Amino acid sequence: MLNISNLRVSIDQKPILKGLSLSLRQGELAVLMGPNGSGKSTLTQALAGHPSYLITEGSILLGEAIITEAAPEERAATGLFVAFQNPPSIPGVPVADFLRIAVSSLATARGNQPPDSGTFLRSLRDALGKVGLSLDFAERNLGEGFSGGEKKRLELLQALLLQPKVVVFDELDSGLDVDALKLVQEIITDLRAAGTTILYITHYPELVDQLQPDSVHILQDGVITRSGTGELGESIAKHGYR
Amino acid sequence: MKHDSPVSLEAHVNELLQTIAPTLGLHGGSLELVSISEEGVVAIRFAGACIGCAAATYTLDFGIKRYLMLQDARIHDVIAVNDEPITHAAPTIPLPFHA
Repeated sequence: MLNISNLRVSIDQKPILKGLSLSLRQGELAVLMGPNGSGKSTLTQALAGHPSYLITEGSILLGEAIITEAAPEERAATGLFVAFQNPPSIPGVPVADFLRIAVSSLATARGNQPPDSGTFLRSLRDALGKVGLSLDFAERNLGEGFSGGEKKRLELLQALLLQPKVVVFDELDSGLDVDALKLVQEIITDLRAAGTTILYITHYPELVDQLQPDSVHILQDGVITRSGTGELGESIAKHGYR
Repeated sequence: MKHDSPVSLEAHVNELLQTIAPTLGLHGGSLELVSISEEGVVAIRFAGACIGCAAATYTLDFGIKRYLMLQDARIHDVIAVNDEPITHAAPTIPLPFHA
């Protein structure tokens, strides 16, 4: 479902990713770990299509679609959703309106009829309940005054509502308390049950045991140096990345 | 004010509509509650300058419906029963819709 092949990415002419290859089948939960500066966030931004992250070589396939040079909105329409560590605030735009426009735009881009407002609001209420947010959260302006936990829950809310084929979670767990981490696990379980492919990028090898991923990959100095199963995560937790 | 309030749905909807009324009044409009079905479909009727206004549908979808359905989970949908033709353009100054 997600095939990254020999990806080389530079920022300000400095190479960060140096031939990264990673392949995820449909419904797979893969965990990507690596030390600071290994290229984890660069991979996230390159997948999202950030214009400052220059892909100099390699390819990204989502299903049958080559999205290496696609605009971010085209990637989203193809089925990619990237949840960021620090999503931007948009003052003056209520969460509900932002999500409705996003859901409607994606439906149109995918050749489907956008949901009517009542249908959308009912699905929004369901999703708010799943991520542990109150209904009036959706009337607040996007990101304005949100706590770190609320920002992460908003990313989870989008992952549920935008019906992506592939979700990339970029260090979603950083700064979350135990209850919020349990919620993250529950949402990931829900997404997996729906057949969603998930790339979960994290600093914390301790989480691997809880998530029970299909595969674990270690990113070091811009390339995948090791791949394995949950045991690889345990090994990293005990011995570090060396 | 919230959906878990013990008040009846009708009482709560009336309370919520009263908080919206001044906002619509800024444009010379108003609305009234027509009915609430057993399924929780709230029917309202636009009045005053809202009748025939090209922005009434937008106001219903992005303002009134959003507000009501996010205040009370018992509300399944909100519809307007008006069938008058559009006679005038939307006001140039949008409603500050954070009722």
